Amino acid sequence: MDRFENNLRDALLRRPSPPAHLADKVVARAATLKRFSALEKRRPIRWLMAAAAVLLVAVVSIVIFERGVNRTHAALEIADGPTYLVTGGASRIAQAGTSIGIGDTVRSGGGAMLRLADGSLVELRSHSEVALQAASDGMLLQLNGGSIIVTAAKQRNGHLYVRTKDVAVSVVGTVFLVNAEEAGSRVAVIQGEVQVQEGTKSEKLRPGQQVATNPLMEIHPLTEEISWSHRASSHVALLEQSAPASSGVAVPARLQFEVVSLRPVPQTATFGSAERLFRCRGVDGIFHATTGDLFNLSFLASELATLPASAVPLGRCVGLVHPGQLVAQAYGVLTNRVSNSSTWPDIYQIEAKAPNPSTVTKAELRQMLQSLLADRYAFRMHREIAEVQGCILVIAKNGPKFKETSGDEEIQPRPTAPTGPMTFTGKFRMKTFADSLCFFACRVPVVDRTGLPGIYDLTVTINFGGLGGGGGGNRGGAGEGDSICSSTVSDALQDQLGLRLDRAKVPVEYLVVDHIEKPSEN
Amino acid sequence: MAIKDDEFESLVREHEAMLYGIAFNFFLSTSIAEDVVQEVFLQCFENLKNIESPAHLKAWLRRAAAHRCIDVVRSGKAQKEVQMDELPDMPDTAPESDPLLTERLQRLVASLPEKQRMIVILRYAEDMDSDEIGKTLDMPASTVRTHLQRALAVLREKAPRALGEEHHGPIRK
Repeated sequence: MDRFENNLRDALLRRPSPPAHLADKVVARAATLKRFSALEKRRPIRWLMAAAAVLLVAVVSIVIFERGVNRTHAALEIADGPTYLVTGGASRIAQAGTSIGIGDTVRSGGGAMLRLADGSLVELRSHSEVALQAASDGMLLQLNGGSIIVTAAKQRNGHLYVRTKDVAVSVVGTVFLVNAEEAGSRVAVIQGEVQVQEGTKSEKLRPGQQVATNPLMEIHPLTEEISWSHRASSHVALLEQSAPASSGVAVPARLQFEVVSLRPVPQTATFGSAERLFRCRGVDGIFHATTGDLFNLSFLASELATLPASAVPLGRCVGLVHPGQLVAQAYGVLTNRVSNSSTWPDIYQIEAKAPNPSTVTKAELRQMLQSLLADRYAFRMHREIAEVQGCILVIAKNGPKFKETSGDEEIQPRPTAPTGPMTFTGKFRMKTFADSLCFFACRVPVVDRTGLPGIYDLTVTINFGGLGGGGGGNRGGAGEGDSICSSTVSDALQDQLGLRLDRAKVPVEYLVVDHIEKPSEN
Repeated sequence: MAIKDDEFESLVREHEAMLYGIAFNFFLSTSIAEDVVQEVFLQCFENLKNIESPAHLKAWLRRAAAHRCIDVVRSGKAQKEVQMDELPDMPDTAPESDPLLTERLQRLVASLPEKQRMIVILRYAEDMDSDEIGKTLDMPASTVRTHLQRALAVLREKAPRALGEEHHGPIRK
């Protein structure tokens, strides 16, 4: 080996050690795989199912006898992470084999699988919540959030229903996915057919078809939607059998800008000046590229505050933008929730005009930015949920010290220097407040667990002292999150607002960039 | 004698560094390397009954990792280059080595076509000879040698030029 080859060998041997959690993750996944394959093997054996049904009836009888009220209608088959069973307002950890009755709610920390009394299987994605309720002619699964895939057994004497806040699905014998988000719900069929009721509108979905209740919800290929499932490969195989060429998506046409101009900008451009900052203006307000939507709290806050609204014509998006920030704006997430890409194109000067500038909303402009990314940057991504060290925002012992207000959220620019005391003030939903704490104060994700549903007048001043405050937003280490969330910020919140931050593992959704390239010519 | 299920955890702990090293050198990305390692071990778990011995296991894992890395590149799920700030802190195993040279060489290797890249990694990081690499990648040893010579020629040519270039990182806020 000559000197060059020796250097080469040294360079290749200077590689990082695997992360400490990697082996545990692999072993846990293997254990899950084993349990799922055991489950798959058990399913076709009808006499075992019959025996299970007999056993279930026996258990139901005992439960009715002993408890008088809550009949067992399902059992937790697999808990791939902490799974909670909420009965009568009390929450406890559930383990494989735990019985679930009508009125009970199941919350999955990791994935989980329920087996209903009729043999149907309900797979919960991590961080999903489903409640079992009685229907007049069967059972109802109320999906409060997250996603489930239901493999429904043939219904003999009744019906199985799945309901979210805005859609109801009735089932005969089929495999389908239901996803409930804040923006709306999504139903997709893998095998068989389901009847979907949305308000007074009713439609039948067949394999490969999806329906979303909100036109602004992103639609992904069905294979992508079910990729989180431990049984994804068998679902995909079913889908290929049932709907070989189907990609039916029953959603309105996507929104697009009428005119788009993209011009490359030298990297030496004055990217950081407010007047060149990328911003979009809809009839309901402006959003900027440096931060999340509602946070005019960036390092450019004071400059932004002096910009006249006319600097952004109505119904347009203009300015210099890094593609990572464009992605964050298009999908309404914090920039630190967008994964790094090794192929980010350069910064571009964008000028885009909506086809309906006088009526377009911010949400619609975001949808148009998504189309722009797909069409011009050939952008593709998927979403991943990771459990990371963060904080939960909860109500402190003596209750909140602020009042509910009316109208929309309004957040004032931060009036102080990034390193001094930081004041958050405005009308916030608690989720927005938690997000802003995450981005500007704690530097670790903060999840709202106050359970407060409204919009509130909040003002809190946090003195970081030597810690520094603004411009954070990295995933942050556990130690940093721990110290900041447990002391400085939490103390200020407790004293001034009656809220508290507790350290916890929290679910965080990341946008993972699968592909992006230099934008096509105008 | 086949490996048993309950031996799986210890074999993961024994071989994770090797697999992670191969995948990291191939992609220069910790996240993709993690994914590859997980997939390879799960594949291994499903095939435990077919693996006869510890020696067979090591060869099996290297082979699975090599093919998995190449498949990931071909499926377009990974990119060839990685941003500066995606590189983790490197262990200080060779304090006398020039960190700039190390980083440039890693990047140059990661920019090679996938087969040449894997051959260079197996040769220099895993200390495998052409015969072993050929068996791992399903190609004749002579083809391995040809690929290796071509890869080395490219690296020798580009290394001085790369060292002379100033890095312009991406603009980040």
